[in-house]
Amino acid sequence: MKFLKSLSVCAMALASMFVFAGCNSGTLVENPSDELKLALDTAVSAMSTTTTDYKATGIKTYDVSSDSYTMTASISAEVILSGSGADFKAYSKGVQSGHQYSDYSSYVMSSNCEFYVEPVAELYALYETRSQTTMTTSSLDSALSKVSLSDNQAELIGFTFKSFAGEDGYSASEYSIYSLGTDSYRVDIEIIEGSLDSASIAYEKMNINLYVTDGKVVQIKTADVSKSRHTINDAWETTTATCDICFSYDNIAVTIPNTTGYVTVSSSDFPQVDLF
Amino acid sequence: MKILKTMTTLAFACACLFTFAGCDWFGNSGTLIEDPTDTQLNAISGAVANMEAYTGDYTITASEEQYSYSNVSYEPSGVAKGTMVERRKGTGDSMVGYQKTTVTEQSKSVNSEITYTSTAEKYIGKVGEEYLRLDTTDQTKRTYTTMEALISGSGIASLEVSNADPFDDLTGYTTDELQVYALSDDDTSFRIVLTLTRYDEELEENATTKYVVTSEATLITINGTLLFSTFEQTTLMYDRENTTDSWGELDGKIYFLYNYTYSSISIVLPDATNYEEDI
Repeated sequence: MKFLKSLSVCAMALASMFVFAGCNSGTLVENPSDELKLALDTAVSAMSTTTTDYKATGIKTYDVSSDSYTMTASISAEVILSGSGADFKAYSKGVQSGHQYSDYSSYVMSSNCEFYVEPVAELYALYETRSQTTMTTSSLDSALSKVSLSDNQAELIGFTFKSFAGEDGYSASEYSIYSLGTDSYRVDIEIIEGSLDSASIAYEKMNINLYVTDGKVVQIKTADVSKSRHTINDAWETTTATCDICFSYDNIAVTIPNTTGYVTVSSSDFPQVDLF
Repeated sequence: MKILKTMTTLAFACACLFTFAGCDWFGNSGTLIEDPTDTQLNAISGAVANMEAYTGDYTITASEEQYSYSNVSYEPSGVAKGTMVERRKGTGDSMVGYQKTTVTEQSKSVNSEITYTSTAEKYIGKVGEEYLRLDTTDQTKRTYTTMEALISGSGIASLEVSNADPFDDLTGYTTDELQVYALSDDDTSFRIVLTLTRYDEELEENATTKYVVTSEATLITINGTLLFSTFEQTTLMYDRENTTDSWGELDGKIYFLYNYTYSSISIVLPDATNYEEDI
């Protein structure tokens, strides 16, 4: 169920950002206990095992600038899993757009897809609304892999959490835990690799804000700045990536649209969202 | 993304589109030669070789368009258009060349849209003791050891007639396939139209792809040598899933137009003092 695992570490959305508008508030937890660190690890791990009744929405943006070109791109995605067995339903939507300009070339693209999945007579049906196409398969994994958002989600996250409690996890200097109230925490992580001195040819600074409430991850925000250059005489090329993903677990429902008139296609012809 | 792969192979050329917007300007001219002689046909075929051997100054302007069609909303349809102008002057170590290309590619389906444009401008020539290819668009240069290596590695083509293979031997075509028109009374200029239907297999009943290729060329005599003046070709492609099916709707189209002129020209290499080495 690789897809579901990916799905669960998934995506997005700015709508709930205001919920965490006070993201810099909270009380620093001095010398966090092993129990707390283990609880945070468990919450992160649960993202990889939760398979239903949750919603994830998110957006990621890229900005690249150098002395020869500029590039801007964004990926947004939404995933909802609801119910189980005969009542299982899934929804996913991916939208991407981007452009790249130099003095002598330009590249502009956009793509989007919207999918629904539901069991139909011992099989699973996939619907894509814009192209009005249907595909039927006996494999749930196959059905979910076709919607391709697993790739989107992996792209959105862009990194793998390390452990807070484990020996090979984050060092104590790399993260801080803040209490936001009863059983609610924010974990700020900052990782810096390389340095911005004149001899460097690569530098990366990643900031992660992880929000956990009632033992579940409710939001992940990342800001990643990297700089590189071929030699110390070249200009820096700067890449900035931001990601904001929100998760909710209550009142989850998916309503399959009217698919009358949809054209049935083979697996190979079913549309997918292509990544950059 | 077959269309995109195809599209990226595309290119060029177009100033002449306007010049020949009336390809009918040439297209309907000339007097049909009912039964062309082998001498006439061989002279026309020989023009391909004549151009390869030509050493004088020349300019090529060209345009190329490639279309891919889809009757399914989620499969992209695409168009790629390119223009090119290319000039060569002189021979041997004194030879200089210039090329400018522009390319636009577009692909669109119900779920996606892509547009790509680019321009490239290059010069080749010997500067001091170096044989250089200079790219003015990104201010880079590449160095070669000989003029032959420079020409072959420059991306600047020799004077050639693209896709002119069907002209190699014109003596075997039917009058439905080949028409030859005289543009003069002394066999010094011709217009020829060649229309061929070909398949991806020898026999139509075994084929799943059909090509209908229409080529038209005008030829003129320069200093006693018959040379191409224009070359225009349209290829229509049709597909079918099974050999028992009838041919489907138009699946793809390729069109290009080349215009050749052979007058003396001037090419000035840019100052490449600050150009970076293209690695």
